[in-house]
Amino acid sequence: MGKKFTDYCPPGSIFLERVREKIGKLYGSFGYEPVEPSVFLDYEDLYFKDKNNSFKVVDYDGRVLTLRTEYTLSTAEMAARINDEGRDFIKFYYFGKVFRYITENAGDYREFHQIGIENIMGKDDPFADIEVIALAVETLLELGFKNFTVDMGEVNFFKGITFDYGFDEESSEILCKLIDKKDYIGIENFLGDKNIKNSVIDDFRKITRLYGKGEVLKKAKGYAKNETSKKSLERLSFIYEKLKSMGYEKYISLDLGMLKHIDYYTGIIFTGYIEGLGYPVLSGGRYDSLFLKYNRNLYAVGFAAGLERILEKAGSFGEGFKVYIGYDEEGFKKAFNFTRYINDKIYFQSFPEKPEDSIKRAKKLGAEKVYYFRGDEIFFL
Amino acid sequence: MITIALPKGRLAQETADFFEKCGLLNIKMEEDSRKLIFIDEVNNLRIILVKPFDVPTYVEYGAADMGVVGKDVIMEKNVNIFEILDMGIGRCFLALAGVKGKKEDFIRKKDKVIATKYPEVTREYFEKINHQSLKVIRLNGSVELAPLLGLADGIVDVVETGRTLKENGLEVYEKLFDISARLIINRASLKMKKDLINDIVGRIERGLEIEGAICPKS
Repeated sequence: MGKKFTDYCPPGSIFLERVREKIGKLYGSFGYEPVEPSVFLDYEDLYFKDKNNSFKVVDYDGRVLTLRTEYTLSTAEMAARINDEGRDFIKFYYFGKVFRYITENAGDYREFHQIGIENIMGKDDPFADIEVIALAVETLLELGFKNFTVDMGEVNFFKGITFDYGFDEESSEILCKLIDKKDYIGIENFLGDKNIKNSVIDDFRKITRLYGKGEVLKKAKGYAKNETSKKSLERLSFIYEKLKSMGYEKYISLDLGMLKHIDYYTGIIFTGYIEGLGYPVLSGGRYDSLFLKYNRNLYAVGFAAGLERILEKAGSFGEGFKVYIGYDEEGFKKAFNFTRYINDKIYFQSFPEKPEDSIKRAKKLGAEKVYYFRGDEIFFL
Repeated sequence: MITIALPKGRLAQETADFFEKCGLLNIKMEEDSRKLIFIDEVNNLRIILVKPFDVPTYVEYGAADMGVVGKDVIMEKNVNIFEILDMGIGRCFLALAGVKGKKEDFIRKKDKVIATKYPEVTREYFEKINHQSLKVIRLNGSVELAPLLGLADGIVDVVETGRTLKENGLEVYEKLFDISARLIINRASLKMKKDLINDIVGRIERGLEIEGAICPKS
């Protein structure tokens, strides 16, 4: 681990507090409840993509534990237990640290805060997708951002098309990465070697251009020739139009060439970008296959946002001390009881001092109002 | 305002000239100038000149919205960006090279040592063809010296005409990959500045079509 660890002092730590309050209110008003899973997970339970990137701890009995790289796996386990007790409509939100061993890309942190929601239901319904994406937009609005986009894609659009052409798993994976990178010529070179018709190669290249606003849905129809692709496009259109009707058009966009982790996601996927930051601040999607693994009739959609990245661009929440309370020995008791009558941010001095010192220290903190308690008297300085 | 990162050197000038032909750029970038930032107020463009291996870094962080850089650099650095076009310029190839006439010795040698500016690409390539044991030494330039001084048995480097190799008594043992300059775009910029970027990419594409019609690919 690097010699530098990230510590949070005010105002950064205060920002985190405020975020916690805001999301508690926002998600709480839709029935999401906070969860605090253990920071540890069994190494064996991790998805392959997370195994290499996790901090590993060897327990006293030789078992390998890891620090969580994300929340979804642990919250899924908690949901499964609740499901055991008979409930199949579960809404969680979380706020806490995750840990990643490798930081090779821009914006990567080894230790950072994630906030997120998991919407886990007994059926797969596009309305849940809509709710979750709307909450992603509302999250960014709550955090003070005005210029941003939640960019949406659908993995089954691509899966349907590759199925039609009978690509094997390995080729699908490679093609997927090329399309996700919008590597026009890479696609041409890869498929050219495989004796595939030029018109088909052209189709795959054109998928990399299927990004933008609503017009993308019309353009994409021409490529959705099989049932899977058609259905996925209908679903995506339904979601997009609903969000548009809710007034979110300015904050959403589409990219059918978005294909990250398509073996994990089973439907809609989305990524949030804020103005001025070159890498995403949030990402999520539908991941029904996770509960299939647990043999359960549960369907899930959710997202996570990285607060450190958001902090890079967030304005301050304008917190400074407004009131300073000082006292002499006799005034301590009255001073102590006085704090409950003040709503502003208070600094209560921890030892008796002269009034001049109270004024000096208040100035250092930027507190404009100074109350001084001498015996039974209050002075406003 | 769109910021484009160009790699210092000949490719920067070639790209700037091409941009001018496409109607994208309207300023003079003097070759001998020490300036690193050029602003084109008319076209709302900012060009920055950086070291080739830094172009993907600026683009990945979003400090530059777009960049032009060789495929060799993109292959070496695993960055999260869109690689949207082949610019068709800066054509060369990555090759395995070594002392002239010693190719057979090189093939037979166990525990090969290869010096290169591209350790990741080199390792991945040799892993694919299952070499027994390979040591890679990272160098930052004048890689041709390595086999001459016995630092390495061979090198992996970019070759254009082959003149540098020839003049230093080396020869190409094996051609690995064709290289050309690519247009790369920051992921957030493509979505957040879509119209501006699509306009630029459109002009470049039309420029490439015209160029392709006049001088077909060699």
